[in-house]
Amino acid sequence: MASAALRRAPAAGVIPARRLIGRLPGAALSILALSLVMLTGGLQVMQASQAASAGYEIGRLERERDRLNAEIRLLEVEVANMAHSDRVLQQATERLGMVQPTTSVRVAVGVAAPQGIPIPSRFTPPLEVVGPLQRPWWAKVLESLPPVR
Amino acid sequence: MSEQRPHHLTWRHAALLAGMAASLVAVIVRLWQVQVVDHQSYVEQAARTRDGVAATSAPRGTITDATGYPLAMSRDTWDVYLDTFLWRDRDKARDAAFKLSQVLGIDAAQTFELGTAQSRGDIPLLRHIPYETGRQLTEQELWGVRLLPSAERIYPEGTLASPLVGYTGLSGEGLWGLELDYEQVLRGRSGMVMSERDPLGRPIAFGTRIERSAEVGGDVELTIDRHIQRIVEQRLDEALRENSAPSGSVLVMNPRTGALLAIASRPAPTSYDKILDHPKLSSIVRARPVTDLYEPGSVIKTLTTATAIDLGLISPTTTYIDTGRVDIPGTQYTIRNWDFQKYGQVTMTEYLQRSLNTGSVWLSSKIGARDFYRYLDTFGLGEPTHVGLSGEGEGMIRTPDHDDWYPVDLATNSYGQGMAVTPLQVLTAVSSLANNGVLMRPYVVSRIATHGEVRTFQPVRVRRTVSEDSARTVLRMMYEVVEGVPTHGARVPGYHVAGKTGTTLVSIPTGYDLDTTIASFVGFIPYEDPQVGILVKIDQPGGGMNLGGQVAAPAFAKMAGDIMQYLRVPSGRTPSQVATR
Repeated sequence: MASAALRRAPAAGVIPARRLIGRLPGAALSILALSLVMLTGGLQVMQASQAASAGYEIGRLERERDRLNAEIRLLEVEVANMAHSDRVLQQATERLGMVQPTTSVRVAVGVAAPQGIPIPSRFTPPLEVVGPLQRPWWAKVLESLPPVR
Repeated sequence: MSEQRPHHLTWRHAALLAGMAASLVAVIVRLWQVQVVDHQSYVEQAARTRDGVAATSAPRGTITDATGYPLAMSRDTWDVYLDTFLWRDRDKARDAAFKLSQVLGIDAAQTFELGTAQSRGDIPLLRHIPYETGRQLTEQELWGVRLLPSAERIYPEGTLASPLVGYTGLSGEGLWGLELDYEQVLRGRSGMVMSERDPLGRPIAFGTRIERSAEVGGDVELTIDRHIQRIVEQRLDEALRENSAPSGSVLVMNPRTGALLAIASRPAPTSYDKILDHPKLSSIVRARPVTDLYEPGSVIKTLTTATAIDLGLISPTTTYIDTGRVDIPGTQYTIRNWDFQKYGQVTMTEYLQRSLNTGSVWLSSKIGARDFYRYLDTFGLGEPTHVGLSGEGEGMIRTPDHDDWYPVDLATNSYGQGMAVTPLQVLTAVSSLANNGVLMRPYVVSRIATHGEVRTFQPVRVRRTVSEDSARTVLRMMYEVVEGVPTHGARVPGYHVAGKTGTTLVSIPTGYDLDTTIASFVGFIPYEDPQVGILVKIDQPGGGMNLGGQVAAPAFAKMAGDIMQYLRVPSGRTPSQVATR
């Protein structure tokens, strides 16, 4: 009971809020209310302004992103055009003075050639090396004639 | 006064009240209709007035070759439209037309005339203007000029592999080839920004905004190597020119995996300029080795031989007596050798070397129809290979189960006549012999990368066609076909080749045209460890030579040599055999 009474009784020298508002003059109250309204309004305007700025900034960044992506794709096209076979050939022959090989020389190094595919044992009899095919006599006659155009 | 004003409702009151009630009901009904029944329609109308929708482009995906080089890609561009409604203000329109003409290099008067010819709707002025030019125009904010993001399809290697890669139309959709087959993968999803706008059409910064971001199309990576493709196309063009042939096809495959390294066919587009107006469009844009059927001819003798060896009926040294002709029992048909010669006792290897039809007929009679067609089926002839390209031909092979099959078909089929298959089926089937008897599924797409997902395609083993021993034996016999004949046109200096020629007469409605042939060659190089299998097919050579060995084999030798050099495959010959040319 005693603690309940203590909770209800205001501390010495402390004026309850309701009583304090009652003591304030009307003009002060009006100023306070107006200030609160202005503060709230100001915050609202500031927030809206920031949102607008952020919106424009997002739009600008999106356009920038799209532009950069497009430029990347354009550069990829340029790289592909640079590596085009005909262009490489042209650069090699015209700028570097390279020419097509007329002969191809193969040099055998001291390494054994790869083994041929082994034939199954059931076909062990060695194959006879077959010479040039026997050609019919008329084929030779036809070949000796001048070509017909 | 009280007498004048009755205390009860008169009929006038009642009528007035009823009228008011009826009006109220009418208002409520109308309100119900507007607010509830037609709610969505009015919301949409309001949105159309208030909201602005801007599309954001989604570039189409890239098709790359096995080296990562793009064969088809997209470049960002802009499309320019004129708002004819706004161009009713002639002074501003004239000013805009003048500025447009300065930036785009077009005629100002014509532009003005175009934009003022009507008073409603947008008119397209130019498509695919360069990206940077479009951006400059956007920044100028010209009166009544709209720029919409667009994309232009680029083929950096020109028409290389054109029938395979395909083409896209004005709207950016695939029309044929891989561009069409993989439309779902390549096509991106356009983005959209819907935002509230002020009366001048400017977005309201903190108004409602709904955005769907654009998704770039997926990328398709091929097994095709652009360098091999170029080699093959150049050599094919040479062969067609030298032999006065109107058309031809070449396939290059890795026999171990089934990966296609090149697919070439002629005729093909030589330029994309006005390609859609080409009078023979359908004949130049199809991948003929995949779609078209032909009679493969003597190349099939390798499969007939493999069947007989696998069944244990013959060995490479088995002999038969070649009398130059075979009469088909019970029929009036006689089958002769292509050169009308007889060679007496010949081994199976010699039969392949000389490509004797009588030997194939002899083998087919030993094999029997049931086993022969069972093996053809195992080799995958007469059925799609499922390479993953649209329009693939299935082939036509009559079997004893068909009503129109006759015993002579067994004889002719044994040397590749009387059947129709695609070059792809033939190369796939014969490649199984170079792959120890395992048939692989050919494929041309190795990887697909879409939004957040990557699919990689691995080689697919279809089935075993013949035993490993049988496959090796036939490959050795094919080696003897080329390397056993010093003058063989398919020989490649520095390498050993295994292969087989084919020559077929062109079928016509009344039988065969004895003057026109299809010359072909299938070969593997190097024989010791086949890296590539190549099928060369030259249609109707008219330069005086018309046999596979005369026309297709030399073309094979040239392209095979170039491909070996490009792939840096070591020579298969022993030092003493090293050749210089």
